[in-house]
Amino acid sequence: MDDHGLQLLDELVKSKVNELRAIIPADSQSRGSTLFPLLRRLIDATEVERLDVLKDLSNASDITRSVLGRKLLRYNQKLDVLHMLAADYVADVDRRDIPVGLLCLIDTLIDDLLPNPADPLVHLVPDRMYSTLTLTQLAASLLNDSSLVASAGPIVFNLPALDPANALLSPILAHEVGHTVVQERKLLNQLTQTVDLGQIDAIFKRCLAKDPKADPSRWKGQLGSWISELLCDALATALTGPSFLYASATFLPAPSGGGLGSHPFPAERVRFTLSQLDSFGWQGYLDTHSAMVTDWLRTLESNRPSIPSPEEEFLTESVALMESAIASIAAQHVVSRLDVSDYSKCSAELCELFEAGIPPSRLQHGVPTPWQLILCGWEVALQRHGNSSRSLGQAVSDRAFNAFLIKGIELVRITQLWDAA
Amino acid sequence: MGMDRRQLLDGIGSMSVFGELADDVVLACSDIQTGNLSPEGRATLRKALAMVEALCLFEEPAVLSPASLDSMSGPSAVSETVERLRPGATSAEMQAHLKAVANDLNNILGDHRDVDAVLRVQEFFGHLAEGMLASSELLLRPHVREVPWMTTAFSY
Repeated sequence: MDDHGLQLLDELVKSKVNELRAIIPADSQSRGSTLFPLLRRLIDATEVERLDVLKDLSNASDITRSVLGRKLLRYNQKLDVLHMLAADYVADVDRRDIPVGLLCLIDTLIDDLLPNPADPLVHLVPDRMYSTLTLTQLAASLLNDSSLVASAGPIVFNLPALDPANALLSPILAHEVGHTVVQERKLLNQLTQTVDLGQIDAIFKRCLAKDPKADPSRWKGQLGSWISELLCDALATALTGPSFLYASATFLPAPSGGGLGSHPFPAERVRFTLSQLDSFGWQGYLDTHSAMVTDWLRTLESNRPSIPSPEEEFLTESVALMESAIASIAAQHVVSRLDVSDYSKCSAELCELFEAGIPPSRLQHGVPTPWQLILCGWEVALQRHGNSSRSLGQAVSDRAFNAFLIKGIELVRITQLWDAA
Repeated sequence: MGMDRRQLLDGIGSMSVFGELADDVVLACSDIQTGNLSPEGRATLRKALAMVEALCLFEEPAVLSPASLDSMSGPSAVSETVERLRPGATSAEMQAHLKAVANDLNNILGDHRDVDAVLRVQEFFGHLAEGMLASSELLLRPHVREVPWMTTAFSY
């Protein structure tokens, strides 16, 4: 790279560093504000790297100049990523337009699932989609410093802008937080140590032989994605019980065939969730409180061709071999699983209060957990709307009832904090 | 959905780390040629060897490992770029290529006097660093769809 190119890149990196430094507010104690020191650390590290390049530039050979040019190009790209993060998330720090109950629910999710403390940022997105983004993991990767992963940094909760506080769909958020658990707890590693990889390698070889044009790396990555999704489903099921079944059947939605991609087919996911719920002892509950819906979900067939492609065959057969290990690993990582007998102790009283329009805070058996409250919400909503597959859709679109549930979660959290103090 | 934000950021992070390593290998090879390889340079070459060996395993068609299952893992990010550098190469060809690089790195770490090996390694990692930059560009700029110059022939 010639001098002109190097000078331009140096100037670009320097000015982008200055621009970003000016945008990031001073440190504060507000919700989500750990974003600021994290961004500053990333910006400062890039400036140090730029200064190192400048030191090496004098008397550099042609090859060294090419390397230094590439380094500056890389820092320029990094700063564009930081621009993206700052532009998207700085305004989300300390935002006040979110119901308190939703913030309480997010705090509960973090406490219940994540191994390390986290500082949540709520970001509204145009897609009707939920996702999370752990920014400390990104920073750890950009700074090549794995110690950052365990630090209490910002985690972004991306929620659909037009309906961010849908209580009945909140178990989907548990699935999304699960992705952070899978990464931080290295659950894929745990799984590969638990299952018989020889059997899966045999399936892999057999299916690859049927498709000479196959890309083995892509198939392996695809299997990893499917397993991660099922691990997240299993974590959410252990934490929220039947609510995850109802929420995912509605959100996916269950009858959709789905394409061959990063996620298992909806019908397979629903079947896996049902099997996990049965193993946790929820079968009687499902048959009593949502017989029609559950019966329909149990008979759901995926709309896949009768002769699967070799890739699909590899994925479905491999996942089938790993299902019980996936469920078991997930269950080990949920400290406060929603327990069927605990729930049955409080459900009658909860339902009575819901029917009377009273958000519960303290019951005869103590303070209900947010996930007991959400399950009771599903129970009452399904009953109100006729306990059919249509009731699932009617329940999530009942805005007033969802707002009532979110208020209930706020009261429950306040009561918990009050008792703890 | 296409590539989501998490995949984009993970991808850029991996490309950045491995691009930096690749460029440090190029500098270490220059140091060998001038007889000034530092302990840090040696450590860089050892890291590069570990990376190439992990890639060889990653490219093994019918062997599953945690890294091969994680599409955002380091080997996965590098492998994607190496594949772009060798379009149309079969898994066996990719493996042979990577094994030749590993062999050269082993030679260099044992004895710096194999000048041809040093040049080949320097060339490979120079291409890899360019490839990493281009791969990041493909992630960051949706309008960039392919980078034709990445198909430059190698000495291997």
